[in-house]
Amino acid sequence: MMDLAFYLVAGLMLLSAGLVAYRPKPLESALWLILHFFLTSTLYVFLGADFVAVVQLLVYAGAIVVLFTFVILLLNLNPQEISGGESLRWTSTVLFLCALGAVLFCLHIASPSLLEKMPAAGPSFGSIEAFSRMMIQNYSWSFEIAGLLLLLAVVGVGLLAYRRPSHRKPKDLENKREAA
Amino acid sequence: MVDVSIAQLLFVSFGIFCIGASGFLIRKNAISLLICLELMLNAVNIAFISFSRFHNNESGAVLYFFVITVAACETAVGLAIILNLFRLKKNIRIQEANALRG
Repeated sequence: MMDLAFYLVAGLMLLSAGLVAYRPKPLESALWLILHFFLTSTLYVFLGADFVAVVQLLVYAGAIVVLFTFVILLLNLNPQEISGGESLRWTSTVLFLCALGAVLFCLHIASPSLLEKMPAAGPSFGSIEAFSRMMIQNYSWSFEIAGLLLLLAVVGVGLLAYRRPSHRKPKDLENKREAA
Repeated sequence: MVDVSIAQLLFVSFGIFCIGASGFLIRKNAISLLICLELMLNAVNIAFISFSRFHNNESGAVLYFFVITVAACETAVGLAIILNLFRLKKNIRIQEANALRG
């Protein structure tokens, strides 16, 4: 029964990934991405990693997809600009993916232990306590650096997206104020 | 808990990564490129969590945490760059974003 559920979720994940990658409109891609992230979260629940599943929903489906949707709606592109067609880089794409698959297949042959059933998870696997113990005890410096990276990204985005007020003519602003 | 081998999970991860990579190489829209990048990062995350479960070790979950940190930064900065590109060119086709080609 659970195996059937796993195959259902895996198949739906691949299907929604295909829809995300190949729907012509970016907004549809973003909406299918929500379904994909929900299914990924389901897979994490199947694996017993509960905290990771919650983080997946909060951060990916909650924040990143909203950011994408916001920017897509903000840009307000007209349809012929979006559907610029697909480029003809099919051969290089297929070659690249074949090479990647060959490398993975060699790895797969080299380690037959991958085909065994997974051992039972420990009692505390996936709990927030085990996760935070591991993170604070072994990876505390990396944690700090990740926080610094987020700070730098916030500052960088502010610098990139900031439009200087001198670009606007002061007359337009006054007209707008009067109109308001 | 599901009774599957890690090879099945890695197959799912590899399939999603391939779909994301082919979408990244084929699409021409800058926002679609970023979305395909998210797909690829998500596939890598699935592999991390699978190995974490396989070895019964939380380090994979910690790596997942760092990957989503980097993914959030990358999305924010990438979307800001796309906004600037749109202000400059009035569209977001990547063929026309060739200022660095030289």
